[in-house]
Amino acid sequence: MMSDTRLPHSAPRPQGELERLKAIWQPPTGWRFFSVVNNTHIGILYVATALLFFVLAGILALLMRTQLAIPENEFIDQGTYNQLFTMHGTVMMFLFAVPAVEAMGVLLLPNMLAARDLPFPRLSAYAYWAYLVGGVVFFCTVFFDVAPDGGWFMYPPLTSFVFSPGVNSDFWLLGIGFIEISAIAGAIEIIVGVMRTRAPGMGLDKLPIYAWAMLVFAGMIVFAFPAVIVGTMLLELERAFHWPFFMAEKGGDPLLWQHLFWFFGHPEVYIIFLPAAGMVSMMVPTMAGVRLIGYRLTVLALLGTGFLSFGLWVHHMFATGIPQLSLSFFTAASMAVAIPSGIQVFAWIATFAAGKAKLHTPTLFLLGFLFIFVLGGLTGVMVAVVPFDWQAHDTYFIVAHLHYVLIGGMVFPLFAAMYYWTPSLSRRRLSERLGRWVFGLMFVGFNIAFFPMHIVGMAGMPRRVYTYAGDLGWGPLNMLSTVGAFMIGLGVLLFLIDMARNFRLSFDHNAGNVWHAGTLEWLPGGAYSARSIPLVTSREPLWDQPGLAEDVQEGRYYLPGAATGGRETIVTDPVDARPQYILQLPGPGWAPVIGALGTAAFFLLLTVKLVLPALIGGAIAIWAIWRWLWSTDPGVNHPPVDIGGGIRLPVYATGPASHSWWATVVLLLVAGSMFLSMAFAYLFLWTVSPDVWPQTRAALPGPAVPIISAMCLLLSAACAQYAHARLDRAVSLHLALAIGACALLAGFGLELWTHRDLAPSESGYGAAVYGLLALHGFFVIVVTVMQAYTMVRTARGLLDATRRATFDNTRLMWLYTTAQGLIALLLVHGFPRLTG
Amino acid sequence: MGAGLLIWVLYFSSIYIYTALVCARGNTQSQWLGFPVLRPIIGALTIVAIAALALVLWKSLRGNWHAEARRADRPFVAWVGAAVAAYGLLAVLWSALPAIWVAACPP
Repeated sequence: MMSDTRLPHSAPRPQGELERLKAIWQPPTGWRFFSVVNNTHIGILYVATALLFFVLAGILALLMRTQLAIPENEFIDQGTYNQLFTMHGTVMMFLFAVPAVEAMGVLLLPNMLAARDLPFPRLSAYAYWAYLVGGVVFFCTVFFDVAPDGGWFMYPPLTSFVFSPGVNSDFWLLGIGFIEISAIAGAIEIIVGVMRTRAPGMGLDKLPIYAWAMLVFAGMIVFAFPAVIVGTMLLELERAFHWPFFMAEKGGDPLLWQHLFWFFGHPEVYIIFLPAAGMVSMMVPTMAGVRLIGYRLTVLALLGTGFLSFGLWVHHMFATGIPQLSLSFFTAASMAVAIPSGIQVFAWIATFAAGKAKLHTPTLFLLGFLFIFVLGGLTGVMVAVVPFDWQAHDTYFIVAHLHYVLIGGMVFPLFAAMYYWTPSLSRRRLSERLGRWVFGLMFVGFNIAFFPMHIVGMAGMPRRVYTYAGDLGWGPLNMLSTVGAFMIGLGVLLFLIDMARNFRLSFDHNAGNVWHAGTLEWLPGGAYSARSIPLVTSREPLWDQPGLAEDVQEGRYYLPGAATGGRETIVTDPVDARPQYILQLPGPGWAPVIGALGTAAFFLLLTVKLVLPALIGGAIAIWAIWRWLWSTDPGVNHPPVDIGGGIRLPVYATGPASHSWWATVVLLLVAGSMFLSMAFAYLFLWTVSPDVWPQTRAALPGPAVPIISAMCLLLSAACAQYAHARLDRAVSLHLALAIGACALLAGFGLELWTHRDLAPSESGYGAAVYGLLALHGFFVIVVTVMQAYTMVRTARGLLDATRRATFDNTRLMWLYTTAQGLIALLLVHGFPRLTG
Repeated sequence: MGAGLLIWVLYFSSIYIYTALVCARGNTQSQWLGFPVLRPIIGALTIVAIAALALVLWKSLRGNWHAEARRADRPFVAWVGAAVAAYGLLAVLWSALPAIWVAACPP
């Protein structure tokens, strides 16, 4: 049990303990560096790559601004301009904004929570490499004139096979679809990391606001991204196989895409903003030198925004003819979500007012953020009003609004964060002198570039036009915008020069706590985070626990060395953060890199219809991931270890207490959201085109086969439960896994067979039925692979009643898939009988 | 802790989906004894949501003062639960307001 009074203890630490810890966390050198898996190194690479895409997409913006500087300009032709604005939006949103905030999370969270690393370091590495390779290839399409050109939201019918027959749209659908998978991997990592790997004593009420923000951010990704993944899947099925999900003449509906896209797309704005707001809530108190005013209200604001942002998506569709009352519901929600943003803004202003902030570069960027973001928020409330939105829709007013929100709400906080946290990662801090210039150019440039867009928008200038007539009078304001845009570019260039001159990566000889911040990421340490893991008793431990930094550095707190002889971190309970067990972490390895390359090859080669090489890439990915999984689930391979403070912890946990159980449950939430999105697509198409649904019961398959199919699923679930109780007997386990797998496959096969008279390309109904089946079939295949993996592990003697995490995970996915199959059967066979 | 907002999610989805269905299918399916029932049903859903939120609010507040909340951060969890329910209540009332004034479907 915990005996807090014994910490910090004063007994001297054994000689060589710190050196061993350092050696264990040493990143590989030379070309082997790329097999690195530590969150700090991956985090740095991740942030740098996100910045690269920021610069690249920024250059695209400058090209567009050059074209628009004067009326009737011939610098860029219309086709290229279409590719430029599509790539600018897509790259900024998918390859810069989301990865950048996720990257900052990977980099900062473990240190802030005083964990040695995130719980799944190889998953972070996999997500990073998949993003890098996928992103670079995706960006390069712009050099070959095959970049997507249908706008960053890719509305069909423009983007379907009739009007966009080339591969441009496919690059978007497959390339971005797969980068979303990488974002989901990161979200799972962050949820489990924040909930389970906190410093002992860091209960929910002492959690840094940034960790709260990242928790809500990751939760939002789990529910929002599946909608767009399903959307991209359906659009790709329409493009490749002519399944008419979005073709009105066959009972599809282009509005289905808008619903699925914006159900992701609006939360996306907050997915980008909340982590930035979280960073602001960390920086403002430090720069003002006082605690954040309204900690509890800020937590409420983060949770409130997280939920309410899912009720806003239709406000992007005000001009589509949706019933007036429905639109008003979304207006109401759009206004209600301003409350939490307001709470946070007032909390920051009050904190600044309560303290004495010196005008260092991070403070300047924070003030700039407040100014710009508040303006963007106010125009946001304006466009939430339906009649105003009808006037402003698709004009430059919207371009101005969204840049005020996104650059104000995310880019300025990110720059503040880079100036603020660099001293914890680099030998030298960034230059204050250059920083002021960077801020000045960006702030003034931003307002010169984007404020006039409100006016040209009100004057009627539509978005996405590559040029405009001179007599419309939009020329001078556009020239002004262009000048401002180049000022921002100059500011960013100066920032890069500052980075090149002053950023020298170092964790153990960093510039230190130059701002006198109070949170744990400022503890001295190395790639292993803090040397010993403190017992936290306040929200700003460095302000309230005197001598903490030195005690931590001298190993006077928990886990002062490497207790198991390898990489490890303490897993704590989700509410009170009491230590529960030691999680043994993996060291460097090639599996995540090879797995990511294989995955990228699979998706990207599929885009250009090289099916066989794509399949080889997919097989390599599966092989690499199999190899990587093989070393997980180590069982009880070490006796319980003494972490200090009178606490002995086991080195292995299974069931709901284990981190892997948590990760699987989050993954099931992703799966469930995907299924719900698909079910929504089915019901939505029925709502708009009931005439393509079977009109009589005779037109439906008879009930006998679906009932047998359902019984197969129930048998499979029973096998899972039987195996769960018989893990001590390998024979029973093998039998249950084999029968369970066969029953699951048989249930799916029978269901496919009952629809043999229905063609998916025939109508919206056929497409919806086969869409549901395709999604379910995907999960059946995943579960079958998991069952096979579990059988191989059992045969090798790596699985029994104690060493059972592998089985537990398989069982969770297995039971989920049977439940999903039963619901799909009810929907496909029950629903048309109910309504027909 | 998030129960209050979960109730809002369920409430918001049901009023949105119900309105969409009524408008897509014409008003014929939404009449009872010749009277339109769209608004009364939205009203009923609102009352159910408010009742559920009031229950969550009451339970969270009671937990806040109760002896069982002895450990340091339990009052925090209870406070956040109550605040989230209060915000949920506001969001439900605010979302329901348009049903009083705005005509349901385009003519």
